[in-house]
Amino acid sequence: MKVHIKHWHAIAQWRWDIGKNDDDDDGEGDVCGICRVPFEGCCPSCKMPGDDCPLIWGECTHVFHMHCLLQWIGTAASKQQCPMDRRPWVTAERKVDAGNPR
Amino acid sequence: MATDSLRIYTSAKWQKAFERLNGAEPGIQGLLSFSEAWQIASNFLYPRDINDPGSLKSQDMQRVRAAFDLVGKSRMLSMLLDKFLEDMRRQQYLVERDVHRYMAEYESAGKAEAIMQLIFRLVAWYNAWKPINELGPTILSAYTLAFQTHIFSIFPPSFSRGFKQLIASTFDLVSASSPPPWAIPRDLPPTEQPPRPDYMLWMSCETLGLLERYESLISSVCYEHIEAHVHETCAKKWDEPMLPKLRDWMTEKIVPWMIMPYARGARSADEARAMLQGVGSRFDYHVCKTLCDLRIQEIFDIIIDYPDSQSALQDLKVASSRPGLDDINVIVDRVRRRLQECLQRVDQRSQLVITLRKANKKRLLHPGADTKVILAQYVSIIRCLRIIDPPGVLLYKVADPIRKYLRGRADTIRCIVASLVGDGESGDSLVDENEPIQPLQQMQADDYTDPNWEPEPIDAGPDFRTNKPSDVISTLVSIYDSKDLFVKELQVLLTQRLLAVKDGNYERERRNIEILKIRFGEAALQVCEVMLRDMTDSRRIDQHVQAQKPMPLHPTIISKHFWPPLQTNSFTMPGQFREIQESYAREYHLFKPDKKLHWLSHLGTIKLEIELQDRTISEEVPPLEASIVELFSQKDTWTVDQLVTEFKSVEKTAILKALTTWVDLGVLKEEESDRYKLLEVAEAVPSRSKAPARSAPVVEETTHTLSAQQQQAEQMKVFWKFIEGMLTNLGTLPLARIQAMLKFAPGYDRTIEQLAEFMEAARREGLVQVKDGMWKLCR
Amino acid sequence: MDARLRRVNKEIADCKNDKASKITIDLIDDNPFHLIGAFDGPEGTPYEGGRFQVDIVIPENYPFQPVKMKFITKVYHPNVSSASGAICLDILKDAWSPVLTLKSTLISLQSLLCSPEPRDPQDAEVAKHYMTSRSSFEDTARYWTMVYAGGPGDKSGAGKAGKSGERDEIAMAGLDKAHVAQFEALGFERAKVIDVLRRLNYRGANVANINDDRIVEELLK
Repeated sequence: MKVHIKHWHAIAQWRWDIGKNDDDDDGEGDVCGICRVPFEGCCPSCKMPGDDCPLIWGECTHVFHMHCLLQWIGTAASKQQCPMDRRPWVTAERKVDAGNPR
Repeated sequence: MATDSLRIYTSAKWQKAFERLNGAEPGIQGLLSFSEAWQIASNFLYPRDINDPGSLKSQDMQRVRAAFDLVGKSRMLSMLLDKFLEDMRRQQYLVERDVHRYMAEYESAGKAEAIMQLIFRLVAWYNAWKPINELGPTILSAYTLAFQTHIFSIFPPSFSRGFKQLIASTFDLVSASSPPPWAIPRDLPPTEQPPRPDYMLWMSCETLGLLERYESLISSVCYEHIEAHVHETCAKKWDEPMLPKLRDWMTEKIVPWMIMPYARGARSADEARAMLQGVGSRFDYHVCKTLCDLRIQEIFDIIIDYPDSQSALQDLKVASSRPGLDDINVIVDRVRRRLQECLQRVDQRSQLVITLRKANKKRLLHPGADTKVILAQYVSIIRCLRIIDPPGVLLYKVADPIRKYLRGRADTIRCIVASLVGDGESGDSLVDENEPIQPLQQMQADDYTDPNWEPEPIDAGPDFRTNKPSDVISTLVSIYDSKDLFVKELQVLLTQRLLAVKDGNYERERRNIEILKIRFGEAALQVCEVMLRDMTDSRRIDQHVQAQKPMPLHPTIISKHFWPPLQTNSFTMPGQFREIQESYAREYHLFKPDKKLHWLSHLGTIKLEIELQDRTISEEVPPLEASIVELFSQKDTWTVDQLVTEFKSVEKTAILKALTTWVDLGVLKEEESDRYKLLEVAEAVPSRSKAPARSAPVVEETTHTLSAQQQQAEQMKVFWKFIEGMLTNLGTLPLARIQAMLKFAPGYDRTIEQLAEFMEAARREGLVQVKDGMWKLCR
Repeated sequence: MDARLRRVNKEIADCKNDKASKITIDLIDDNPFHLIGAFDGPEGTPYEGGRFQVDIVIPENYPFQPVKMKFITKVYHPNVSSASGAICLDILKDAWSPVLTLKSTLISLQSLLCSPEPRDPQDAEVAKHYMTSRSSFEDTARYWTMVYAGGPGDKSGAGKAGKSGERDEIAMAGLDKAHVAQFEALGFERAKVIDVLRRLNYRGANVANINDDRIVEELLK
């Protein structure tokens, strides 16, 4: 017996690839430390999530909403430090991972 | 022994009398003439027995008149009259006999004819005994009075009944072309053709004084006739205004009839009109009142049949505005009470049974009734009541219990929302497509029992706080006090619709969102915007992925936090399904390197073609079913337990249901209990029931989203913690303070009334107590 | 929605959902940016058994500006002003980070109670007390906890004085009864003696550094 798939209408959620294996996670997911909104949501100043409100990675491996972090770095009080570890912030070069997305 | 003075007195008197009777005649000549005259007169003026033909003697009228003259000259007429009246009393038994005879006839046969004959007979007696006109009006009226009094005292109680019946029958008589035989007195001399068939009857009644004596009875006959006619012609007849027709009928049929009882003596049409004015006005009033009452009795069904029953409402409005009838507020109140009666009545279970038996009848507030039907009725009620009661007082009083009831139903919001977006499949929508789309207006009915009520501001315009929603939608949304519930439910509904879209065609939903944005405001619908954008993006992404590597998989990719919570019982798909998923995910990741896909495997549908040894089966099934059949392609026998192990997070009942689908399609067979085998070769399938399998994809998805109301219940638990904290820190608080502070809690969207209900529930559970409106925690 | 409000709401909700930590944050009135936080005094410290309330004000640029906190409950601690409740803590000033939350900051306050930092004091006198005699300091801190934070002990706050409502001012000032009595005997008013002795940090080892004349001089001022 053979099963041929003619047409498959499926539903999927998109998630940011932040290096965590959260396939079983159906809860809130990780939140941006600055605005407390999940990464898959958008920052307080945006209306649409996803490409319009992307994430930013630091070399220290900490992740935030780009808009949130830039707003922080823009203040004098930040001293251009990563909010998590107070090391000087350096944006990481995101390599296109052509390998296994999982 | 008589004294002398007495003797003198008596003899003087005697002398006077003698002179009177004798006149100037010599000797006793006068006396003799007088006694002769007296004899003639008293013989003539005698109540004879008309049954006895011999009693009627032809008289020389000249002699009779001369005799009466003489008696009159002798001033003995009053004595004659007294004697006559005395004679009448003695002869009364003759009349009485006839009365009994006719009344017995009536009582046995119950026919009004007998009464009519009786009347004619009595007239015959009357005429036979009547003094000649020459004797003057005094004697005549004395006679008439005596005669009438006699017969009235003779009439038995059943006479009124019979008389009433008789009068009632005159309505038909009026329009008869010729009078029926019983309408003509037997022994009346044939005269010219009477001007109308019932003429003789009325005249006879007048003669006997019956019209005056039974005046109110005659009126009541007419009232009843009117009522009967109104009910006959107007009951349930709502397709045209009936009041004008009734008035026409009054003019054509009733007014002519009225002439005989009320305007007999009129010599001209104008005079007749003047005489009929008073009673005519009373009858017209009665027409209006009867119609009004009828319509109020029918109001419930009228509303259900609206707008077909518009004319009936028109009738009610016009009839009730007739001067003298109840003030409009009283009418409104009566309508309200009637409606409440009806509404209460149908809420009882026993009525449910009766109602179900009645064909084509829809009733409100019926536990088994479709919510959509109730909503449609509700809208009809609103429209109807606005005609009767524009200010909306009735609307509020009647609509409020319905609103409360609807609020208690779980699927009301869903129905309304479905109507809002024009659910084309399920019959007539509540939305009028032609109504201009406007932003929702705030409905604010004043609640005077609210202790926080404040008077409207000084500079408020006349429309401030007026209940004037301009369209059906506002009416429906106003069932609830807050728009937020709607927006949430809209989201849920939109989710179902969008997720069901397989061909990328979601134009209708986009249009609906546009419409709703106008109604609810843009901010409320921001989430829906994101949902729509996801649809667009999914299509674009799919196009790209298909271009890289064609696959039968076409996913809708959603942004997790902008769609309502979808139930999460995902599972790993086996075999080729997983391979395809992984393949697609890889392509996706290449296209969007910083993102990845998380499959909701349990959602969606798959079109399969199953190639078996001797047949091919095409089906569209949910993913679980597809996964199961895939497993059977790897191994042809599975037990249920094995499958449960394979799909770790899926419940056994779901697996069994999926297996049943395939059994029904003849793909699998249950060998022993809980053990299934693939049928490469077809076998006879026991009663295939396609319907359940087919409906599976759609139904499953709709139950996946938690309804807005379920979400709300969850939220209240969080809000309780806030309230607890407030009361801990601040001791006691009035409700208004709690509400104000809760407004700052995330996602708090309840009204103060909902908060009050919630606090009350908490009080019942012993969590809080209240005194003089101040709430505090129970220790 | 306002970013600040959104975050504050989330933080309050998050705190509500966490029953275990016994850290609470509540609204005071209609203003969501003025809150009241509370936590238990940490175990193993003189603050144990007390409940400490903190006034919280959310500034306009939160979370990019630090939250403003001060103690409502009076605390005897080198880094907390015994008069105003002002707190000297780096994360409330230049070490603030937007990833810190109200809850985490309150926890930090709780930790601060465990580990005072006298070299960077908020209240100089208390700091001096701390460094002069640790045990005396702890007694005082404990007494203050009992009086102000509902700590264990005689709740009336009278201590050995016996009458309700009357506090032992000497214990409040962290002084030795004998010392106070000594100068009272000279005819000086108790309150003045307490004030002077406290200011001069007449405690523990430091007593030897201050001679009586100096004290009398102060008393006569």
